[in-house]
Amino acid sequence: MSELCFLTASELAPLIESKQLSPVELVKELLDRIERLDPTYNSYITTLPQYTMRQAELAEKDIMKNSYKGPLHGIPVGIKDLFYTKGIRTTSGSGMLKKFVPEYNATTVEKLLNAGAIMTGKLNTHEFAGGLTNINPFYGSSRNPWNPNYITGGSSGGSGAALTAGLATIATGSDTFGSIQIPSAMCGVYGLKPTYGLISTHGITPLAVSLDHPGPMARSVADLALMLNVMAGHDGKDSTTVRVKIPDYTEGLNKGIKGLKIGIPRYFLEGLAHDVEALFKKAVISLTSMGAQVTEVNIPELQMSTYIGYVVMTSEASNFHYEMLQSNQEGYGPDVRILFESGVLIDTVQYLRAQQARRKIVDALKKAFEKFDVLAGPAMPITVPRFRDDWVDQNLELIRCCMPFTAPANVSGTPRLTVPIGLSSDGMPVGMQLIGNHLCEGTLLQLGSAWETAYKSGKSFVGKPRL
Amino acid sequence: MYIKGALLLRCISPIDQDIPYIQSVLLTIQQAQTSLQPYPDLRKEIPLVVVDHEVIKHE
Repeated sequence: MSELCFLTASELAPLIESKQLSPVELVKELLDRIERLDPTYNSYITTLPQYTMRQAELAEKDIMKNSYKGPLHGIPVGIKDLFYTKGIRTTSGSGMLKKFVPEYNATTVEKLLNAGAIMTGKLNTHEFAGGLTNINPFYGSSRNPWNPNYITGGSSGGSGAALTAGLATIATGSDTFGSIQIPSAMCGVYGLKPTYGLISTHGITPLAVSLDHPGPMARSVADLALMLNVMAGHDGKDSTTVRVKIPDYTEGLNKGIKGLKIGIPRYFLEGLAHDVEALFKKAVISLTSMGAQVTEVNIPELQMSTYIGYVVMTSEASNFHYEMLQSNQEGYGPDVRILFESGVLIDTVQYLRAQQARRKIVDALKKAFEKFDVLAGPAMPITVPRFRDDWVDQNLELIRCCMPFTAPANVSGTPRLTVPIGLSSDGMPVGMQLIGNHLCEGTLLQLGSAWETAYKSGKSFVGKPRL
Repeated sequence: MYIKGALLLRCISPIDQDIPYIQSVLLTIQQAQTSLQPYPDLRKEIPLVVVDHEVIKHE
C-alpha cells in the first residue's frame, strides 16, 4: 500500500473528503515509510511521529463530523526547518540552533495547519539556507532518492528528497538564490518561487530579506496551486507582503497553452552541459507542438544578475548574522561562514550599485513581458553532482555555476516555476525554469499543468526512482 | 592581508583557512562586476530597496 505515499494531495483530497480514506491510515503509512527509508535519505532533521498521529486522529474526527476544511485537510506536509513551528524545535540547519524552540508559528505554517494539513516534521536544509548542496555538517546531508551518491541540491533539499521518496505529500521551501529551483530540479519534483511579497516571510529565518521567497514544493502542479491558495496573501506581520486579491490558482490549470508566447533568453543557453542542452531543446520542441509560440530573445541586462545575486545575498545575509559572526564564528559550517564573511566585506557602493542594476533588470523583464507570457530556460546548466569530499569547495563552486540561472528571477522578484524535463545519461533528473511577470503565477501554473500532463504521457517522464 | 585587516576592523577574528575562499568569492564578485560596464549611467538609477509600506504611506 506504499503507493498511497506517492499520491498527490489533489488525488488524496477527494478520497479523504468522501471518507474513503482516513488521514490516520495515510499518516500511519507515511510514518512507517519515514522510519524505514529516512535513515538513508535524511530528508528530515526532526520527525514528530506522536504529534503527527495525534493531528491525523483529530483530522479524522473532524471529517467524520462533516467538518471538512478543504483540499489540504488531512494532507501530510513537511515543513522546511527554516520555518518557525510553535513548541517544535527549529534549527534552520544550524548547530547553534539545535535547541531553539519558537514560541509561535511562521505565518505560512499557521495557514497550512489552519487549512487542516498535518505536519510530518521539519525538513533538512542547508545551514541557514546559505548553500545549494544541502550538505549539512550538523544534521547530516540529505541524499538524493534517485541515487544516494548524488546530492539533492539545496537549500530546500530535505523537501526535494522527502517528496521524491514519498516521505511527505507536499512540502514548504524557500528560495533566495535558487533554494526551491535547484532541489526541485535535482530531485525531479515541482517547485514554485512566487512573486516577491506574495507569501509572508514572517517567522522564517531570513537569509537576505530583499531576496527571500517562501514557496510550495510538490509532486504535481495542481498541488502547488492548492498550497499557493492557502499560503499566499497579505500579512500584517510582514510589511513586504503585497495587498492583492488572491485568485483561485487551481482555476486555470486545464486551459492548455495554445497561443501562449514563450521567450527563451539566449542568456540561458550559454555553457550548458550536453545532457541539459539536449533535454531542454527537446522540451522546447514539445512546448511548440503543444501549441505555444516559442522564440529566442535577447535580454542583455540579465548578464548583471550574477553580480546582483552575490552582492545582495552575501551582504544582506552578513547583516543578519553580523553579531553571531563576531561572537561565535566557529558555530557556523565553513562554507556558509565564508559566504557571510565575504558579505561583510561588500561596501556600500557595491550594494547600492547592485540595487540600481536590479532596477534595470526589472525594467528589462517588464519590457520582455510585453511580448511574452513566460520566459523559459534550463533550471541549472549542469547535471546533478555526486557528493564530493571537498564539500566546502563544492558548495561555493555550485553557487558560482548556478547563480547565473537562479538570480534573474530572485533579484527581479518575478515568479518562477521549476518542472522536470527528463533524466540525464546517469539517470538523474533535469529541470526547466519558467519565469512569469509579477503576480502571474496563474499563467505559470497553467503552463506547468499542461506541461505535466504532456510530459507524464511521454517517453522522457521522470516518474519516481526505484527505492 | 586586506581581508584579515578588514575582518578585524569589524571585530571578526579571521580564520586562516577561510581567507583563500573569501578571496575567491570576492574575485567572483569582481569578475561579475564587469557586466555593469555597458551601463555607465547606472549610478543615476534609483536603487531598488525594500520600502516598508506600513511606514511610508502614499494615500
